[in-house]
Amino acid sequence: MKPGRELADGVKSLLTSLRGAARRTFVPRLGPGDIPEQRYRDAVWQVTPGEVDLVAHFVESVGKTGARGFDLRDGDPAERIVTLLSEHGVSSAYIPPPDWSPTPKWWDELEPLLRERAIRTRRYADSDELFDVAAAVTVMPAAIAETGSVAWHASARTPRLATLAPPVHVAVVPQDRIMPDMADYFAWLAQRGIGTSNATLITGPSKTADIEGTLITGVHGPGKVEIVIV
Amino acid sequence: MSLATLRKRIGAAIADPRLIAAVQGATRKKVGQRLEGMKVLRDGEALRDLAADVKRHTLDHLPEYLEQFTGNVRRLGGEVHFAADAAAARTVIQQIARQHDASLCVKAKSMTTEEVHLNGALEDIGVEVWETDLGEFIVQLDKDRPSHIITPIIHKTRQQVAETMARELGCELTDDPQALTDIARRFLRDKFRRADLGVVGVNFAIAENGAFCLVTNEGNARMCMSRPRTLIALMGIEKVIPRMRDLSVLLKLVARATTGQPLGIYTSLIHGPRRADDPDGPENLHIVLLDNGRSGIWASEFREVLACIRCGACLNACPVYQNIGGHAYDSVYPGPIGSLVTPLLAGMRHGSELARASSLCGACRDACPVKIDIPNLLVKVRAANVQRQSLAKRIGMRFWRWAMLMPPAYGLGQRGLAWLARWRGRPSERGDRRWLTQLGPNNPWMLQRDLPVPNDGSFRQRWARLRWDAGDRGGHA
Repeated sequence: MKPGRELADGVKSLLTSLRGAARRTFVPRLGPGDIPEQRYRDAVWQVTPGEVDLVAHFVESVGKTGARGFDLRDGDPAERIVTLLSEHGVSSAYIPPPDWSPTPKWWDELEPLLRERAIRTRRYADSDELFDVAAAVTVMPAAIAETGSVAWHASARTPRLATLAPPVHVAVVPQDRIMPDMADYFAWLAQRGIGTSNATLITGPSKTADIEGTLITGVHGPGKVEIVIV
Repeated sequence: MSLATLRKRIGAAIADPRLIAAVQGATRKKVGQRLEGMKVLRDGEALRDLAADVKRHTLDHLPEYLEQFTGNVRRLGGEVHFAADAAAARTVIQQIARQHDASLCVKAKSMTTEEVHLNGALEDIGVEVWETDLGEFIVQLDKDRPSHIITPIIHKTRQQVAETMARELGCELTDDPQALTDIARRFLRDKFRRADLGVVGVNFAIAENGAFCLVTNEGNARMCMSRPRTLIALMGIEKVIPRMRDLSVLLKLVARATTGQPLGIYTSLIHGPRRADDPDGPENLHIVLLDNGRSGIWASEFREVLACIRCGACLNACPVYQNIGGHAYDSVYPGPIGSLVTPLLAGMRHGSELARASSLCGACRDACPVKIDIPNLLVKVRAANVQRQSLAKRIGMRFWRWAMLMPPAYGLGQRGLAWLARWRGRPSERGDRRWLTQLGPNNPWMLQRDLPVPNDGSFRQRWARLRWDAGDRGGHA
């Protein structure tokens, strides 16, 4: 028996029975038609561009999530990334190349600098290997100033586990990828038809407060999240 | 389940001061966190109103949006199944597990899988199952039940957790939450690495593109959705929302209502199975739509109940939940919303007595991010179950109603009560506060309640005197 077929018809029978019930029962409704777009504009957006310095607001929001944000637009990102990784005492790092060419200057400098500090690097890693590296340095496709979140989209060069399995995550955010509000991000994502099989917003280090409400970071995801703006 | 057993459970809960202290502390802290989180919003009220309307609009058009969602998931290469009840859900998921030769399942926290008692069904066909949310993991080790929909071990102290983990995992005995978390992390890492089946719930399913959204804080759900070859998502049919813009509305409220955070740590959108060139992610994606009583609720005057986004805010805010904890409800869904969901999912066959374990104070309605009118619905559940009350109570209530509508009868009753208090020998002077309890050993209403001893003279008598005095003074002026 092929379970898919028989069960697929189950959905059809559910829809038929719901539609039948809708005709039989009177339940007060909201009214016909959609909710006016204006209500979303008025209620949803918390951060509007022009009102705040996006980078400063993003760094502030990141701080509230338990991660750290560094504005290195005028600094030396490679040097800082190496310092951060050394601070956390990592011995190996996964550094997938950003998907644009030519690769930025800081990324070209990163690998030699890490080698100097005896941190092993790998540009490519499969799912198993990602469980064994100590840190990942990844360039993020989007970030949100309102919440201090960074986005991660699965693709051929960006495994899901890259930003999940290694205990230390350095997320590099190009300045022009910072969006004011979460609603801007989802609007952008909707507009491009999502375009990935998995889009994840990461808002700080992995957390739990299950045991007596005590806050613990680094449960199953990275316990250290460092965000570098370039 | 009956009223008598509910009373017994409540009695047992309030007799355990450690439990009550743990629950009170945690719930009150979360109430504070929610209020702080909501304050950050520009206009939290407008956002709640919009969220309420989004959910109600969706429910009004549920068949259309479900059809759209189903079509989009299939276009992406995912399979959609339907389970009419809990048994069907277990069977469907067993079939999927067999179809893909699953042997090790990692589970994220999901209320629907609790509702259908999935774990045992998977174990029955030889699949090893692990809960991976820290709280649920401890519940599983201890063979306990969750007592809160967000914080499953809200009722456990760190010492109890330590004992459980040392006993079941053979690790050293430590009550340091950090050390306990590390032990769980290491244990579950190994399971994640080897798992071939992931089972998750769904926070929101988006009709316009077939994606579904899952919010977690620990990262375990991301593991469940990234590593195993097969992913099953079990969702109630009410979880669908129309568009991505609606997702923004609800996401801005759900974490705030739960813990005060502006957003959960990990907010994932799963948009079909992995693409051909993705290095990881599930090859097989199955979404199981669960009815289990929901279509009945949908077609009834209780439709609004299906707007619930399972944030737990009403549990934390409820003075009853705060003082009896989750286990007293003896349901997968405790607290105010659980007192509606439990009897309604069961078609009122059981659990309707839970609707009476409420003071109808309205704290749940004020806390609800989608403004479900819980107190009003609780009253409706009570009304629908009047015939289940004992004959004595129904006659008593009839009499009460008659007396309340007849001023002379009411006055007579008051005088009777005052007389009774005097006859009991002014118990307040004897330091005896529980004067009514002693009226009858078989008076169940008074087992956990008492009234202050009434003053001499009723309000009505004093009011009449006051008006008389005021009238007198007026006359002299």
